[in-house]
Amino acid sequence: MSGNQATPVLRILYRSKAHPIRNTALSHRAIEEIVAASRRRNLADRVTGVLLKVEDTFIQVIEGEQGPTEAAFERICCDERHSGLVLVDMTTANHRLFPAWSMAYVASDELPPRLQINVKLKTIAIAIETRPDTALEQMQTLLE
Amino acid sequence: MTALAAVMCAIGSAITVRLWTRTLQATGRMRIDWAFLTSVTAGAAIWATHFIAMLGYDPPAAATFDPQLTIISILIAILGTGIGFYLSAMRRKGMAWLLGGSTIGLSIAAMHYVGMFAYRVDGIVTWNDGYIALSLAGSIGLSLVATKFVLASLDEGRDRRATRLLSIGFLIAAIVTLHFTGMTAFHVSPIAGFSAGADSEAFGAMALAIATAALIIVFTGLSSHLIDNDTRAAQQRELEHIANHDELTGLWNRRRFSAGLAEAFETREAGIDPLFLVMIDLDRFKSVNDTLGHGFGDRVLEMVANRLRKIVGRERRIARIGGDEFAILVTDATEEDVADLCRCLVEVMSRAVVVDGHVIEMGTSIGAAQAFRDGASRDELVQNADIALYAAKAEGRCCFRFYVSEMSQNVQLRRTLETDLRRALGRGELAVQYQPQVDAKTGAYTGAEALLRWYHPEKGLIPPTDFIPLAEEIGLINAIGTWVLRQACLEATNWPRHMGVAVNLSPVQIMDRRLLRSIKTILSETGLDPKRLELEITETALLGNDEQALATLSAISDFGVAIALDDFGTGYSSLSYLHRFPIDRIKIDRSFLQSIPEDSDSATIVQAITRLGANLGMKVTAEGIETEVQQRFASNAGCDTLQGYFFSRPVTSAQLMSVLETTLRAGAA
Ligand SMILES: Cc1cc2nc3c(=O)[nH]c(=O)nc-3n(C[C@H](O)[C@H](O)[C@H](O)COP(=O)(O)O)c2cc1C
Repeated sequence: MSGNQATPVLRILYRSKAHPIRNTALSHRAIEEIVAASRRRNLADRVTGVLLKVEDTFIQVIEGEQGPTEAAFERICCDERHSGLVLVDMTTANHRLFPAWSMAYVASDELPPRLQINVKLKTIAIAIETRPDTALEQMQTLLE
Repeated sequence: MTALAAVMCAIGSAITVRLWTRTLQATGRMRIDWAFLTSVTAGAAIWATHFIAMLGYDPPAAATFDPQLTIISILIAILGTGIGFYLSAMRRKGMAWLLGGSTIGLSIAAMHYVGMFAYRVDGIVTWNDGYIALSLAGSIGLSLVATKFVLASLDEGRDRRATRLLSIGFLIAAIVTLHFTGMTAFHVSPIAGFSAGADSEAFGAMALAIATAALIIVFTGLSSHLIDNDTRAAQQRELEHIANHDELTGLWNRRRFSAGLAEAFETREAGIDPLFLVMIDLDRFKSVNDTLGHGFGDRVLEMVANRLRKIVGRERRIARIGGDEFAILVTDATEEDVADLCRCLVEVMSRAVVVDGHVIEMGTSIGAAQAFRDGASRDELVQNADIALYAAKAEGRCCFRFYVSEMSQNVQLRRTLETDLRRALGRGELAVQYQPQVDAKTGAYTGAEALLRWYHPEKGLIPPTDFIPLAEEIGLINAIGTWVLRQACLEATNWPRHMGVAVNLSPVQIMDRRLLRSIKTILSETGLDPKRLELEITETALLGNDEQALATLSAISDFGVAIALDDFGTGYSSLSYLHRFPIDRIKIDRSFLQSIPEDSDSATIVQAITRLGANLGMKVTAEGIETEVQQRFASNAGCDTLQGYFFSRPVTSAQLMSVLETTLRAGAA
């Protein structure tokens, strides 16, 4: 799936807490399901992106054609398995940042602990609050 | 054979009339389709009737059928009656009847006579013109009557079945009459030497053709019946759906919701099975409609409805009961579950809605009440859920509240206050008082701020903070504000010419496009010099509606009226307002002066504000001065004007004037 140069790409960046609204815990199993469902939908809609889980915070980028990307974001908004969702940034760009990923998933609490990745994730989580552009660049290097 | 022909004719006519009424009820393309179906049946019926009868006719000479003319005759019957049926459905009733009926009558005749040409006899054929004319007249006349009845059968209030039966009868009569009168006009004399009797092979083929025609009739009749039933059932379902659902969102509409609530009340045993009513109201949706248009607003509503469905889940008793109001009936749940649901809804609704590259940030307030506990009747339940919703809104929106009985008392209090306030203006319970302002250096009176007072006949003096927000909410603020402005301008004309009057403007008034005009009118009617009037606004009035506020205030300022920024230092002071808006004066919020001398921070702020004012060329007023220390501090800090209890409480215009007189006399002495 390569970034189509001709059509502009809508990119949405948001963060949320990995706590379902109605109950408190989000199991590993549930996260796996979310990622699998996301990949399936995104592949069909030519949506790409990254999902990070830094401690109990989700950081996600979705990008693609405007319609499908807005629809994917709406599905995310309808999902009560996370809470405190904050839209951080929305831009249009000429190409995708993550053309190869229907939904890359990187989590900080994976075992065995990978110190370097955890530090990088932490940096991204901090950067996202004030410098979304920098955070996006850091996400790209994280996946390289 | 004649009996068979009659049966054929009767069945065909009955089906024809049935299809014919469909043609009359249909519109557009459908009407053509139905007319076609009707004419195939009618044509086949007329044709079959004719030829069955002909099979039974025993000619005195050898007879056979011409195949081409036979086929042409059925085509004439189908085409001719088709045109007739179509015409009979014309909008103009009189023309429809006349043209439709006679075309049908003529077609029956044309079929018959072409059919007779197809009937080849080896004899001398003679025609009786009189009978031909009679047959034509009979066919047309009876067809017209049949048409009349068919048209009448669609009218309201008629016995449809009977009228339709009459129509069938006359159609049969038209066909039969034509045939037998036509046959009377037909006469064959055998030629000697030729054999008499029919050509059995041709007659066999004919019988087959007739059987086919009969099948066609029965088939169309049957299929139309099935189509009818199908479409009627589908229409019924569709109508029911339309009647019960909101067109835009597909949720229940108000009507269905009321019925659903009634059902729920009936099926629940009082106090055993819990039933909750959840009322949902979108916050800030109106501005979406206002700024991005209704079409866009509709799409947002669809998405909102979708979120509701997703969160509420299988239990689909969700209704849209107003523009941006929704309601949910929840059964088989605990209060805990309902609270969870509400929390979930509040959260999900607060998430951004992204449509067409726009980001819409809304919120939702929710009120919930439990049947039998918070209301024994349906109306009570609805009312209490509403009250809870109202409480949620009052509590700053984006939250949910369960009904508790104290809410009712608050609402009751508010309602009475609301009615009282509506009457206050007319009953002269409102009054304006003036708090004088003095020159910081000389101590001379420079003007006064007009302050609104409400003397409630039972509750006594009600502070403005208790009723101004209410007046803003119920749309009374413009009337009250205008009254205050007029009163202040009128009374200020009695004061010495150097004294100005300051009047507060509510943010709601600034949004009102009529504001400038009403200020001009009041000034010209009272004769107050615009330079003596100052309007006080708060920073919140400038937030959000920047452009319009800027335009209105600039126009007011151009007219010579001064603008003062009230309560400065407390709000989201954005210095950019000071640059962009035509502000002549800053009024430092009373809280800063009142914490002097104890609070050194406040002192610093006061000094900073006066410097800022000086730099921007604005006058600075210090409010809330109560002590001599505060007075001295404010003067030294560089404030231009001072106001507060240290100088005077708010007084009536008359009191103010008498004070002025004594000071003037004292000054003169
Ligand atoms: C953290 C998180 C990330 C998600 N990411 C996506 C995504 O990238 N694409 C998507 O279509 N849905 C995403 N979803 C939504 C759902 O996992 C899932 O796709 C959706 O519920 C499927 O909807 P459906 O059942 O209507 O197909 C996400 C949900 C969560 C909680």
